[in-house]
Amino acid sequence: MPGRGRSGNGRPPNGRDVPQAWLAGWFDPELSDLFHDQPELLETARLLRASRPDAEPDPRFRNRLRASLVAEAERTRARRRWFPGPAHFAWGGTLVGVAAIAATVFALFRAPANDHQTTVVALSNVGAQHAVSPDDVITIAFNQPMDQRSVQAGVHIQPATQVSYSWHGNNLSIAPVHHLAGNTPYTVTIDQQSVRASSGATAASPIQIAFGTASTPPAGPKTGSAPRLTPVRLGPAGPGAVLAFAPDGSVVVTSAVPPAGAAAAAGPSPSPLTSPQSSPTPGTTPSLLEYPTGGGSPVILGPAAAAAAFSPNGSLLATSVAGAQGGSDLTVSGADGHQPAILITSSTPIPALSWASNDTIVYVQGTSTVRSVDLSGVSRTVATVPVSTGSVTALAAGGRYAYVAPAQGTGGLLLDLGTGVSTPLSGSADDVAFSADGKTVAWVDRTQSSPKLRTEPTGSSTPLTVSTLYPSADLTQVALSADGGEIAYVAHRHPGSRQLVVAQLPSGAPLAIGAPVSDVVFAARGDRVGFITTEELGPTVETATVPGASAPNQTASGVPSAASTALHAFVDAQVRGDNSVLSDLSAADAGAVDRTPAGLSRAYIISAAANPDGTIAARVELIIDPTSKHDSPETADETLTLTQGSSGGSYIVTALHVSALRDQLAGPHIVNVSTTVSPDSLVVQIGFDSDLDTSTISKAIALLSSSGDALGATTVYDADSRTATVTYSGAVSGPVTVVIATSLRDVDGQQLPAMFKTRAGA
Amino acid sequence: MTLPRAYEDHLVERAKKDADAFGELYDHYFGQIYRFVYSRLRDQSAAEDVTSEVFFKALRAIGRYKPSGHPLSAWLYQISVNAINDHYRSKRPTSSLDGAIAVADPARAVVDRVVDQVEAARVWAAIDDLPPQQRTAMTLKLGEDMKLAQIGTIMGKSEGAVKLLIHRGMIGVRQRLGIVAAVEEEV
Repeated sequence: MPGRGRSGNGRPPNGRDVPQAWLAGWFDPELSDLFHDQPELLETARLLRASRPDAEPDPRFRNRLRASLVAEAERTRARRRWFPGPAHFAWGGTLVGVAAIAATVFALFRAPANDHQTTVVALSNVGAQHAVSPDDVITIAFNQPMDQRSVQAGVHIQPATQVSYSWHGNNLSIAPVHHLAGNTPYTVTIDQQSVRASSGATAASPIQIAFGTASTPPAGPKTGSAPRLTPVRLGPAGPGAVLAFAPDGSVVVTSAVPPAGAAAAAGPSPSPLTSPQSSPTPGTTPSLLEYPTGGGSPVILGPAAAAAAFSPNGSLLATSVAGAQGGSDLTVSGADGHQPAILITSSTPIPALSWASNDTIVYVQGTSTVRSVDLSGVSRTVATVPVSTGSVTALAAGGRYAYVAPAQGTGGLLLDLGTGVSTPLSGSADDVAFSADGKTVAWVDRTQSSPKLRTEPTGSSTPLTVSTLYPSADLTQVALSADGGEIAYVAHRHPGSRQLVVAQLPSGAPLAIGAPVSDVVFAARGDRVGFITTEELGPTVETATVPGASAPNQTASGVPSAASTALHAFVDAQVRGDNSVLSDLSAADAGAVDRTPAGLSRAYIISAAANPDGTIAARVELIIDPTSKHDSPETADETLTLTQGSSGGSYIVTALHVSALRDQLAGPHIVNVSTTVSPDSLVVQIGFDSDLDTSTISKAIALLSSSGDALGATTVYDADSRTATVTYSGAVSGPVTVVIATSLRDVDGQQLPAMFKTRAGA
Repeated sequence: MTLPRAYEDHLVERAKKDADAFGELYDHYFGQIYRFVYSRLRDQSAAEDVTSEVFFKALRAIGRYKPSGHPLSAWLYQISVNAINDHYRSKRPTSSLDGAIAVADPARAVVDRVVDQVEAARVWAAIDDLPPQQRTAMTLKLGEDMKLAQIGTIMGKSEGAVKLLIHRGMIGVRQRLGIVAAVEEEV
C-alpha cells in the first residue's frame, strides 16, 4: 500500500498493547467521531489517508540545506557577538555572564590610556573562561620585563593551591602541584604593589583573574591513585564477539573457537519445537562458549551466536544463531545450553535480543523491525521503524525500550516499545548502553567537539552529564552495570593512549582503570567486569573485580541509586536554569523554580543520606562565579528532601530550603562527603577545593557516634585528589556525625570558615 | 516523533545563540516539514524550494520566538502554510483533477482502488482544488495525522472551525473523485 509507513495517529495503546498503526491499521478517533453519522465520509478519509504522498526527501538536499542554515546561523551569530568569549559553555553560564567577566578582566588589567611604556599591562590564557581543564597551567603575559620575585610574592590563589612558577620571557606560568580542582571557581590575584616591572613601572590596579574549571569528579581519585583492574585471562574470543554474564557469574562469549578440553553441553532436545541440527565440537568451529566462574574447562553452550541473553530468572538462554541464506535462528535452551530449541527461523539477521519476561523474548529482525515471540513460538510485530529514521541496534532488558541509531551522523532515538513514543538522545550515534534493569540509558553525546558522557532514567528526558576522567578524550565502549550505579567506558586521550575506566554514577568518580578493551559487560552485582582485550594471539576474554564497587541498587552512602540520579538531575537543572526539568523533578508546592537563585554557574552536592522514613536528605552548595559587578564567587546553602513516589518509582524533591546568597569566604571548603558502610567498618571520604596543611587534618576531623562519643578513626589525606579518608574499624550502629573543626587550615594558613557537621551513613 | 517539551524549549533557547542547536532542531523537524510541503505541492523541486524558505525564515525569526505552550512544530507549520500560500500565489498549480476523476471507479471498494502510487497521487490530488483553508486542514489531518486542536493552533482557528473545514473538504473531495455520484447511483 502506498503511504509513508509512519506510526500514524493510532489508537492510544494501553500498557504494552501494540498500537494499531504498527499492525498496519489506521484509526483516527477524532474523524470517527466527526463522521459518526456519515460513514461514507470516513471511508473517503481512509482513502485519502491511504493515498497520501510518499515523500522521502533527497538526503543530499537535506544535508545541503542543513549546511547552509548552520553556516548562516554562524554568520549571524558572529555579527551579534561583541566580546571574545569562548564558543561553548557546557558549565551552564550565559553569554551575558561571560561577557561581564571578560569585561572584568579587561578593566582590572587595563593600563592608563596615556602611558603604555611605563604602566604594566597583563593578559591571561584562562581569564573569563568557565571550563578550564584542571590540568591546565595558568599563564599571565606581561607587556614588559617584570621583577619576577616581586610578582611571585604577590600571587594569591583562592582556593589555596600549591603551585610552582616559571618564566618564559615576559610570561609567567603558574603550574599547580596537584592540578586544579574540578568544577571550582578560581580567583588569582596579584597585589598591586607587587606588580612591578624591571623598569620600575607599576600596574594601575591589582591583577585579578577569575575563571572556573571544567567539571571532573571532585572527590574521585585521579589516574595516579585510581586502582588498576587486575584482569584474569579466561580464554580466546572470536572476531566481533560480545560477552554476557551467566546467572552463576560465568562469562559467556558469543563466538570463540573452543580450546582443547572444552566440554560440550548441548544434548538432544525433547522440545516439540525444532531442534538445532548439530552442535559444534571443540577445536573446530566457533561456538557459544562459557568460561566457568571458578575456573576450569570452558563449556560449549551451542553454535556461535550474534547475540545472547539470559532470562530474568536465569533459567533460560536465548541466542541468535546464523541460519540459512543470511538469516538467523532464534534459539532457546537451558542456561547451561541443554535442550536447545529453535523458536524462530528468520530470513533476515537477528542482531539483538532481550527478554521481556521469563517467557517472552523481544528481538530485532533486520534493522528496522522489533518483534516478540513467546516460548510456544507465537510471534508478533511490536514496532517498525522507517528505514530513513535509522536502525534498531539495541534493546533494553525487559524489552520496554529500543535504541534507534541514526541513519547518518548523530541524534538517535530512544523508542518506548510500549507507547510508540520516541525521544531523542542528543548527539548519540553508536555508543549507547542500557542497564540490565532497563531503567537507565547511557550514551556518548557527539554534538560538541569533546564528546560528553550522558545518562538518564529511560523515558525521563532528563539527561545528566557524567564527569569523565579526561574531559577532552574521545569515549567509546559504554557499558552500564545492572542497576545503573556504575559505568564503564574507554577513553581515547590521543592516538595510542586508550584506557578502560570504571566509574561510579552519577558522580563519574573513577573506581578503577585498565587496559583498553573492545567490549565490556558488568556482572549482576556490579562488582566484576568482563571484557575482551586484543593480545598478540588475538581477542581474549578477561574478567576483573571492580575495587570499591557498591552494592546493587544503593550508592555507598545507602542512598538508592534512583534517588542519587534524581538528585544530580535536579541540581544539574538548577545550574542550567531549566525550569521545566525543575518542575518535573519536584513537587508543585516545593517552590523549586522560585527558590533557585538565578544565574548559577555550578554546584557542589556535598552530601546525601537516607532518613529513617525513607526520604533522602541532601546538602548542596550553589555557586555563582564572579562577574564584572561582583568580583568574588557568591554561594548559597541548599538543603533538599527527596521522596519516592507512592508507586515505588522515581524520586522527586518534596522540600528545599535555600539560604541567601553571600560572598564565598576565604579558606578551604568542603565539596563532597561520601560514606561507605560495611558490617565491620565505616569509611568517610571528604573532598576539599583547596590544598590543605596536612599537619592540621587529623586533629580537625572527628567522627561522633549517635551518643556523641568520638569514634577512634584514622585519617589519611590524598593531596592529589584533595581528599581526606577517615576510617573507623568496627561495627557502627545508628547514624554517625562527621565534624570538621575550624582548626583545619589550607596551605596559605587560612582556616575553615565555619565548623562543618554532617550526618554520615544511614 | 515528538521532542519532550522541556528539552525542546531548552533547545530553542540555545538555538537563538548556537548554530549547532538550530541544526539539531532542523534535524528533528526537517522530515515533517518537507513531507507536509511535499504533500501540498507534490513536486520535489518546488517542495525543496519552499522547505528551504521555511527554515531560513525560522532561522531569521527564532530570536524572537517565545514558547507559547505549543510545540515548535506548530510554529514551523504556520511558516510552512504561509510559504506554501506564497508559492501558490506566485505560481498557479499545474496539477489537474481530470485524471483523478477519470480513474475513479465506483464499482470497486474505495480502499482497493489505492493499489499503486499513480492512482494514489491522483486521489490525493483531489485535495488540491479545494479552497486554501480546507486544503490546509485536510493536509494536516490526513497527511500529518495531527489532532484537531493542533491544526487549530497552526491555522489560528477554533477546533470547531477546523472540523467544519474538514467536513466540507471531505465532501469536496468526494465530489471531485466522482464518489458522490457513484453512491447516489448505487442507492
